[in-house]
Amino acid sequence: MTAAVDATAIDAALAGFAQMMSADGYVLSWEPADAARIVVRIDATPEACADCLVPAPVMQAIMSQALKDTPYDVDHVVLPREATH
Amino acid sequence: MLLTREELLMRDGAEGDAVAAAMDLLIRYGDALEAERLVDTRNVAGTMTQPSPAKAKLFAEGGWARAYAVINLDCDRDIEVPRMKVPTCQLQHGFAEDAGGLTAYPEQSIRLQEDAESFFSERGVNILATCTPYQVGNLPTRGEHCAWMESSAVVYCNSVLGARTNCEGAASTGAAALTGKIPYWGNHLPENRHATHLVRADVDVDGFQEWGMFGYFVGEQVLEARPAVTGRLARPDLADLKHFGAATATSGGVEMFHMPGVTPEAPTVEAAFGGGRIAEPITYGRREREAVYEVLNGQGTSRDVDFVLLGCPHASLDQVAQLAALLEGRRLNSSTELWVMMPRALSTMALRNGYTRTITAAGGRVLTDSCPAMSKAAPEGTRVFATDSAKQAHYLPAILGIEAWFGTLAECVDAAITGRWSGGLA
Amino acid sequence: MTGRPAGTRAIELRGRGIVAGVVEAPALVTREPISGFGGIDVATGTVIEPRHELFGVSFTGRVLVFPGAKGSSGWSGFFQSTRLMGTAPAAMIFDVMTTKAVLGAIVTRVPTVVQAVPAPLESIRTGDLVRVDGGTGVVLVFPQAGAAAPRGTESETDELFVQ
Repeated sequence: MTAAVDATAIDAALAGFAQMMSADGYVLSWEPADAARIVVRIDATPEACADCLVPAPVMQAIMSQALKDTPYDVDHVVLPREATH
Repeated sequence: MLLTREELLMRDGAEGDAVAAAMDLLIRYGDALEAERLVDTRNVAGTMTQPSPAKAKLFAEGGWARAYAVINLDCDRDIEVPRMKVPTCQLQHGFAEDAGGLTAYPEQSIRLQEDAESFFSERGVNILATCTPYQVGNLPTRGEHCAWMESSAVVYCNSVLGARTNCEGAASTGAAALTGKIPYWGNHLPENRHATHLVRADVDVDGFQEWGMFGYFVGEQVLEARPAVTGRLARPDLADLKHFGAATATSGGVEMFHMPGVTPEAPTVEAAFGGGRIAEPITYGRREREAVYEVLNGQGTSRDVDFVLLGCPHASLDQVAQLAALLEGRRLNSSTELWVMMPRALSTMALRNGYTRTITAAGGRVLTDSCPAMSKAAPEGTRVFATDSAKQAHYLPAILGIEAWFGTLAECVDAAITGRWSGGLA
Repeated sequence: MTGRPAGTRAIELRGRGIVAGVVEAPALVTREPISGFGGIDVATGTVIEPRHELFGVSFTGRVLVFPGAKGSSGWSGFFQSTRLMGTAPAAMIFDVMTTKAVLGAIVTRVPTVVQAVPAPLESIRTGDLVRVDGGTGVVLVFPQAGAAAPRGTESETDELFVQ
């Protein structure tokens, strides 16, 4: 059966982080991986600050922390291609 | 199903209550199918304007919004019908103004349908009003995910065009139109499109009648499976493929067939089976062909023909031109009606090219939007009808309790002129 | 006489429930697929397809056991109309999964179990009392007195005997 994932709650939990990313020129989006975990995707805009992106594990920890009051967690983070090194 | 964030938000009301109800229906439907997810679609062919007793009652209770809620969303709440989110068209519906007074079909239903057309076209439903949207501009491309109703259109969409649709219903298309989503199941998956059966014609299949008979046989044999057809097949044109597919979907429930060398997904029989084992062929020979002819003519005893019905599925301009050529300078029998059904968009062309004048001068009629089976009505007093459509020959006796003869266009025209059926299998 | 005959074992079938709800009613069984358009009359809840083995028979209030749907895409709409007209079957049990039949069950809103094992068409006869649980997917068949027991696994359901 389709799980009752609360998209609004997840949006709200990640709102602060998404805003920070936006200030540095990155767009945050997410999709469910299953009933309890999400995949977060960070995309760079042309104005993106290349030095501002923290490594994926750090980003994942920050977002897990943001989601701690929800029933959801981060499955993994997908970073822009250029920032993976 | 695993829903995306966008789908979750729609379900939770971010785009309004009607969209939420639509997502609720799609979720119940998709879960019942055990679909893994939904897929985006931008091509919906459904039914919103077709009158019915149930719909008239709902309309009286709460207008078109109530009718849409119950029939097109399976929702009991009061909702407002928003604009269709993705391109949506209305398939065939009931008789329109041009059939007014010709049958016992209620005038009320014609008016109700006009009102519905007005309401729904305001909200983005293109009123194509035909079972053949692909003949009037809705031509999905190869691989395009669609959400179509109408079994004859579904099989054409999948097989001849290589687009992808399941055989949807009023509620699933109503929900798809508001969300742009449909369960990713069945014919949407490449691995579900390979042939399961092989049918080989050992007699010549050439011409509209033969293609309909062969299709009726194939449908009976494979039911809802996916046949690949080979053998002594003449190169079919649009009308032949339209008739063949409609017949397979009538006697059986075929939604996908392969005709190597003709249909786009399988250039060879091997490709049709996806590289898997090729089934043992079911053969269509002289005996099978005769048996189909007997079945399609098995509901006729009296040879006095009251009514000739052509254009099922809806006729193309070419088919109407052929009819006009056969009727040129001739007059119908005074006690026989002849109708050809076609999409309204094409009737403009038929008029422009003089075909309609020729047909009506002979005493026949060119009508649009519907057919006797859909509207459950034929000319008053009809007890025996003749048709060149396997689908109509199959359905109309059950729907109207009348006798049926099935034959070629020429035999049907002959019956209209003489008033007597003298068709026979060549 | 209908009802749970004393001293008869119930036959248990297990399938997938696709529309929740529990109902118990006499079965109407056919081995032929059912058509909507041109196949049923919604005003009376009867089969009207001329050569069908159930021609003229009403399914209203019965547990309709059939292989699957055939014919036009309006199948779901026709069965929905039986709900709106009050002539719907009490439940549906079928085997072949198609969009037509599945959507039809959903909009008819009657308990429905699909792809049950042992095969419903081998286990249920017209007239048998059948309990359909569309939530758990469990179907209990109480063969009627006088009918030969159809093939199928009998379950240990002594507690369901009615004295």
